[in-house]
Amino acid sequence: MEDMNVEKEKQKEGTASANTGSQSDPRLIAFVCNWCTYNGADLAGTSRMKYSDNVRVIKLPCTGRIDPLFIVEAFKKGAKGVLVSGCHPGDCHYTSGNYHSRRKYATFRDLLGYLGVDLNRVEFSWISASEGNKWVAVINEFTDKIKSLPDKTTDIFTKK
Amino acid sequence: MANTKTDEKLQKIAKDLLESGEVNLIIGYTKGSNPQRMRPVFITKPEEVVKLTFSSNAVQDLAVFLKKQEVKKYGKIGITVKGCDEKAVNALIQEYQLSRDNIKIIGMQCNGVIKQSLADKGETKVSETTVYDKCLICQEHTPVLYDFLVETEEPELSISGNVKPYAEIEKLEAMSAEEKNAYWAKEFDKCIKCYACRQACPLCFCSRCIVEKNMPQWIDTNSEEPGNAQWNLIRAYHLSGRCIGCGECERACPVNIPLMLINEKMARDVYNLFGYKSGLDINAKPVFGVFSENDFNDFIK
Amino acid sequence: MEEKYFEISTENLKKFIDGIITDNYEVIAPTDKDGDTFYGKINKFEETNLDILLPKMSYKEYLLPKTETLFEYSISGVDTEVKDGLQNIAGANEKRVIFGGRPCDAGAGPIMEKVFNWDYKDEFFNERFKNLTIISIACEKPDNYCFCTEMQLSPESSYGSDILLKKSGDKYFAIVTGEKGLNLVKAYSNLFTETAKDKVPADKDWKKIFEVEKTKSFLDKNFEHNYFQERFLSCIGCGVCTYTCPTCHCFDIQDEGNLKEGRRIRNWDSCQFGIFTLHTSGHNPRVTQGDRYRQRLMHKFKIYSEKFDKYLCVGCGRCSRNCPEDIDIKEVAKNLAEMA
Repeated sequence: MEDMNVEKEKQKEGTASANTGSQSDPRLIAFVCNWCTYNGADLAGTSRMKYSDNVRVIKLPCTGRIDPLFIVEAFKKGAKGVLVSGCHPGDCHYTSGNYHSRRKYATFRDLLGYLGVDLNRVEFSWISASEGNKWVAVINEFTDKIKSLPDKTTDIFTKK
Repeated sequence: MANTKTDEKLQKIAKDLLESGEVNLIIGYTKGSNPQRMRPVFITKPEEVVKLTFSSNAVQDLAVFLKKQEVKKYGKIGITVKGCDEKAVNALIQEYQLSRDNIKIIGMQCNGVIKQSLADKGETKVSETTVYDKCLICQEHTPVLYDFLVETEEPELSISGNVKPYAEIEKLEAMSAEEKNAYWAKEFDKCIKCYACRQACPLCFCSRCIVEKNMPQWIDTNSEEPGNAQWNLIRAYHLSGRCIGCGECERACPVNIPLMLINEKMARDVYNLFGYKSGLDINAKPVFGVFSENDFNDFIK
Repeated sequence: MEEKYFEISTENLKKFIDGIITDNYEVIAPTDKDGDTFYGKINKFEETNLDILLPKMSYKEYLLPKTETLFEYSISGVDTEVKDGLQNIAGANEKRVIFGGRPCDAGAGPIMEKVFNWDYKDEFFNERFKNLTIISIACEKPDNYCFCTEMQLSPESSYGSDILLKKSGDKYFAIVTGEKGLNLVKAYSNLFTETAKDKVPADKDWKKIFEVEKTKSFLDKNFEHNYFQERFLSCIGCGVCTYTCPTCHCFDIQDEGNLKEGRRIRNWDSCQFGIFTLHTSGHNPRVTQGDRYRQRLMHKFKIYSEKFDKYLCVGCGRCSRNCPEDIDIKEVAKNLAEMA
């Protein structure tokens, strides 16, 4: 019974999302597509490959479903970096979702940069279901990059 | 003022349209609250067309009314538009907000409109220092699409090149992330979230704006940082590749946030990336409705 | 307190303002920025722009901030801490002076105060209002959008000001209406010379172009009049009129936060927004922009006056000057009065 309460408490902590990590232990959010990148990450796991545990993965049907608002939301809640990842061009499960997504994000990225967001904090990648090793490399590199950024960055998502 | 050739021609077109029943409503400009101001006018009776006029003070983008339910009710509408405003009509047709069959476009040739803030102080001359930046880069002094054209009698706008339109954009692009952030933090801090930028925009036609959706609350409602920045970011993103550069958002802004610096920058970026300019062709697909296999890919690992 | 009268030279006025800034007062005055004039903090007298008639926005935000935290909470484990937002603003405005505003802006304070005190006493507003010191300057040349005279004020009215300055040649007459103003004057008594009421130049005979009572009597009888729908077809519902208005005071209460921390805030809101009256059911009693602008007119010229015997408008004309579609409220009120 007591264990259950502790467990509940833990769950609450998790949903409260206030634990966004420090600069030395930053919280990264990865929005991935269901068909390629998620399976790539899965492959990394089942192959017992190790990668940085700073990342939290959020699975969506397709990169075309990943609204730029999700990135805004992640930064709003204190994420130190956001990754968007999906199928390679030509491989989209829905034929063209990733192509549309690419157009959107090319523009959105420009806008973020123009408004003073450090573009080192947003990353995009194409990772297929067979590229477990690429997933590991991308996550590790991204984590290292975020860790190397100056401690006190302020941007439009920072509360005063 | 109302008896110039331009006005006569405009009034005749409007009168014919209303009398023949081709349209039920004409949206145009009439004299405003002071001699340097114009205001929108809605005309349903042929005898009222004498109210119609046009000048370099016609700053409003009348295409904004095409999204209004009260105006849509009229069905077939005739609209007086400058070159820039006409692009908004095109973009609305492109995005299926408007049928080409329901609109009669009375294109006004225009050689620039005087900034309202200057006009209110008594400025009457059209010159490169008195017009909006959008007029200095305007390629559509004659609207790209029209059913009727009213030629201007104004002399052509002479551009010496001494006034650099949207000069701040290059300055901003050269800045570091931190400097940019400081610049925009200061600007967005002024925002009072009146959403006049949205309301004044002919292309912000959503019946329920993202800021009004609260399950979940995507955009913080506060008028402080970071709520203001989130709003301005998303507004600009939703207009990327769509904004036709009429500048109404900036003109409407009561706290003078330079919104066109963002809109124009995004329009340039979209053109550089995808070779697309909004509102030029009613048969073109909107830039985010299509893709190319060879789109810019350099930012993706 | 009875009104007191002083004289101060232009030179001394400058010294007075610079003096109170040195005394750690935050002086808010019309100052040039972003290509227009706004109320803003000044660091010395030279930064003011007293030549213009009115800054683009009113100084409402110092009485009713665009976002106010009502309370904050934080939860850690089983402990919940709630902090009253009132603590944050205790003594707010005690050391703040609004300088160089106009009688219309000053008149807005007491008008809003009635709304915030008729039933529930709004502690946030009152805390800010009671401490704010207002030094206004009488207008010499109102423009075509001004209509304070019609709204029971005048370009030379001292209503709502702690000190009203009236320019006369190279000096000002200072009409001090209350303790707050008098304390400031006393602290700088070497700059002011007391004078008699009859020395102060009499107010000019300002002409009215319409009778607001007639506007009201039209509104009393013509709720469904077609004028509203026709005239305000050109309204785009941007809300600039309400946000720049010194007396518009509608706000919206919102919660922000998560399971660990958060706050309740109130933000400015506007009757010009469609969502303002949208019911949960989907029904909206004010469907068209005509309905919404009518509401604004009703509130300004009818509803408020029935309750408080004043009008919810000071005639500053900001809504007309700033309206992107050039809707002139003075012209509208005049039209309505003529139709009555």
